[in-house]
Amino acid sequence: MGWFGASFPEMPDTPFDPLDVDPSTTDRLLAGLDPDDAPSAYAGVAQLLAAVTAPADPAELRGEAAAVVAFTAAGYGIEASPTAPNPSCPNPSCPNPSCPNPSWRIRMLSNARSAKLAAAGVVAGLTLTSGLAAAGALPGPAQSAASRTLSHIGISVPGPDDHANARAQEVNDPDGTTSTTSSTSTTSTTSTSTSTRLTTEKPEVEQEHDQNQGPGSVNQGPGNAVEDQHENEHAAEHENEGAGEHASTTSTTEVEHQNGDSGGDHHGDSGESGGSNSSAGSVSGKSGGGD
Amino acid sequence: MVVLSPFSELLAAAQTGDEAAFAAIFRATQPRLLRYLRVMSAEAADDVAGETWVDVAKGLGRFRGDEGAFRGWVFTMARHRLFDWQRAAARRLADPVPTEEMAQLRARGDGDDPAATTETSQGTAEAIRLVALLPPDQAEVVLLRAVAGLDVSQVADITGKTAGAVRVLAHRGLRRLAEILAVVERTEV
Repeated sequence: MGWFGASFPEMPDTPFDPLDVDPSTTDRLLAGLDPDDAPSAYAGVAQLLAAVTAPADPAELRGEAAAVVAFTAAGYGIEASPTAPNPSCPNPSCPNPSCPNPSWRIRMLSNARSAKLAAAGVVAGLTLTSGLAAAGALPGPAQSAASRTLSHIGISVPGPDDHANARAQEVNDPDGTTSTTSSTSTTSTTSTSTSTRLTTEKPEVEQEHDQNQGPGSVNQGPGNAVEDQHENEHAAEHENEGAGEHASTTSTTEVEHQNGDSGGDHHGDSGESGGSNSSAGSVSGKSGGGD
Repeated sequence: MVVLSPFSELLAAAQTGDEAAFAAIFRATQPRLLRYLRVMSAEAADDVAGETWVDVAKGLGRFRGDEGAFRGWVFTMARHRLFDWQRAAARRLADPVPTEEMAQLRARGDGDDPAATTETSQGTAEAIRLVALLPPDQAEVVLLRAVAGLDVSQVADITGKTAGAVRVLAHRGLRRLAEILAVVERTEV
C-alpha cells in the first residue's frame, strides 16, 4: 500500500544491459578510443575499428601511379591562372584539349571569354539598332532595311520616308520657322512637290509592307489611300495659303479633320502603317490612334 | 624516413602541379576510401576508387578547405560514383545474361566475399567483412565517422540525413557490431 492508500505497481527488474552506452562513448569509439579504455562490451568494437583504420597495406596503394597519371592528364587540376606553371607541353598552340599545358588552357578560357564578349556585343548592337529603327532615327536606307527586316517578325517600325519628308521639309521651308514648331505644323507646310514624290514612293513600300504583314494588314491600304488623298488636298490648300505661316493649332484642326474623313475603323491601322508614307499620313495616323 | 608535411602544405603544392604532393595525398586517403567502398560495394570498390581519383585530379585546383573538408569532398564524390556504378549494375542485371556466361562467372568464383580475397592485412580484411554485416545505412555512417574521420554534420550532409539520425545510426551500428563480435566469440569458443 502506497501513500494515501494508492498502490503502485512494482518496478520491474530491469537487467543491466552492458551494450547501453552514452553518446559521448559512442563518439569516442568512433574517434578511435583505445580498446583498453573502452567499456568491456565494446573492447572488441574498438579493436575492430582500429583494424579498419589501420595503416595502409601496400596492396591498397597500387593505384597510386594511375592516380598520378590522371592528375597529370587532367592538367594537375590547375585552374587557369597567370601564375600557373607551364610543365611539359612545348607546343604553345597545342590543340589537344587534354594537354596539361596551362598556357593552352588559359588560351582556351580566354577564347571562351572573347566569344562571350562578342556575343554580348552583337546582342547590344541589335538592341541599339532595333531601338533606333523603332524611333525612326536610322539613316534612310538603313531605316528601310530595318523596317523590312523587322516586319518579318511582326514588328512595325517607321519607314525611311519620315526622314526624307523631314529633310524635304527643312529644304522647302523658306523661313525656317518649322524648325521650332511641332511635327504637326511641319506636316501642314509640306510642299506639293514633296507630297507628290512621297506619294509616288509610297506604293512600293506599302506593297512590301502589306505583303510581309499578311492578312491582318490588308485593310490598311484603303485607309492610307484615303489619308493620302486628304493629304494631297491639304497640301494643295496649304500651298494656296502660303507656306510657313501656320500655327500648330490650325494644323491640328486639319489633322483631326483628316481623321474624321478617313473613318474611325482605319485610325488604328493607319497609325501603324502611316509611318512609311508621308509625314501627313503619319501624323494623321498617330493622331487617330491617340484620339 | 618520409616526413609527412601538414596537409595544407601538401594541398597547396599539389594545386600548383606537384606530383609528389598529390601522391602523398593519395597515400593518406586511398586506404580509407578503399575500405569504405569495399564495405559499401565490394565488387565496385576498385573501379569506383579509380574514378573518384580521376575526379579529384580534375577538381583539385578548385578545391578550397582543410583536411576534413577534403576528406568530405573525396568521400562525397566516391559516394556519387558508387551510386552511378550501382545504377549501371542494376541496368546490367535487368538485361538477360546468357546462361553460358553466367556459368563461367560462377566457375571463376565471382560473387564470393571479396574481402576474403583482398590483399589487405588479415585483421583489416576481417574487420571489413564484419562491418559489411551491418545494415547498409549503419555501416555507411560508422565508416564515414570512424574511417573517413568525418564529424556528424559532415556525414549528415553527405548522406542527406539529419544529425540526430546520424547519431542514432552510429549508435545502433556500434551496438550491432558488439553483438556480432559476441556471437563470433561464442562460435569460436
